[in-house]
Amino acid sequence: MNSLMTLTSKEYWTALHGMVLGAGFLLAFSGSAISLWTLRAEWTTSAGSAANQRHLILGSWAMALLAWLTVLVGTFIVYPWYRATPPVGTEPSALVAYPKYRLTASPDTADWHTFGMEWKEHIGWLAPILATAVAVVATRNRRTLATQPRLRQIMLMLLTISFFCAVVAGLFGAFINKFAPVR
Amino acid sequence: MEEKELDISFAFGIPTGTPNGLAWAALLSSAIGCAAFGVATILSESSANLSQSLNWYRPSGSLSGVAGSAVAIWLVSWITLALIWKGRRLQHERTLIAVILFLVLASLIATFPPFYEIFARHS
Repeated sequence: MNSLMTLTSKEYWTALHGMVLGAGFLLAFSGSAISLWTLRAEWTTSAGSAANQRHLILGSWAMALLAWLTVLVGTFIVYPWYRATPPVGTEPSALVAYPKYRLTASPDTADWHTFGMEWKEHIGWLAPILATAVAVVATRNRRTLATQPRLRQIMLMLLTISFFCAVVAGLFGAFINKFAPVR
Repeated sequence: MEEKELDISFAFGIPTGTPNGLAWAALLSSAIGCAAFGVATILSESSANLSQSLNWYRPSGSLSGVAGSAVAIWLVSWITLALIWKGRRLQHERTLIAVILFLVLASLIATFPPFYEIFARHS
């Protein structure tokens, strides 16, 4: 039983990338979005507004930090294992250690790389840039944000787009890891 | 008749006309960074030489340079806009929102594989 419940170091990094950092980012979104949505001068008392500001700052910085860690671990640690080139003459049955080539070896699974992985590896990078901008504005403008609806609107839009980018990257990451796991 | 935004800052002890330039600098520069990522993605796909020059970290391929150059452009544009807009109150917020959304949506399209593969080199 014990031998079945082990992970290789590559699997640990992949789990950290997707299940800890990426999933943490997605979870932090709902709290940040609600804090931003309800941070309106006409809806809250000054005490309520102060609590909202704290939640927004905490949530948005958590999103930004988790997004950066996710893309950095993904791009510079996990992705090189995914795209590693097999030695010339490697039998198709031995492509298990080379996920990209395992997927592209068959027309039935090639789209998981040519569409899924290609989209994931690019769109994921937009999330930390947008989340960082929102976190910086939420911190710097915390006292005036409740009275600036235009600023809140665009921040909420960017936060939502950032979430969408992470959802696309996360979903394709989970599916690709099911068909061709990094081991 | 255009809807006017009601400034109720005074009711919360916040001086009216509070500078917002730094906030818009942060938001617009993030959109510029995303757009730069989209442009770098298309350039990387369209030319083998450019793809090679963006290969900053060989194990990750050109993605390392695409991301690195976009982050550099984002930070430079952020610093530049912050220096220009520091202490200013920008009035054209709707225009700024439109520009930011245009850049971000353009970057979403540019990073969508069926779109950027239109520019892919055929070698």
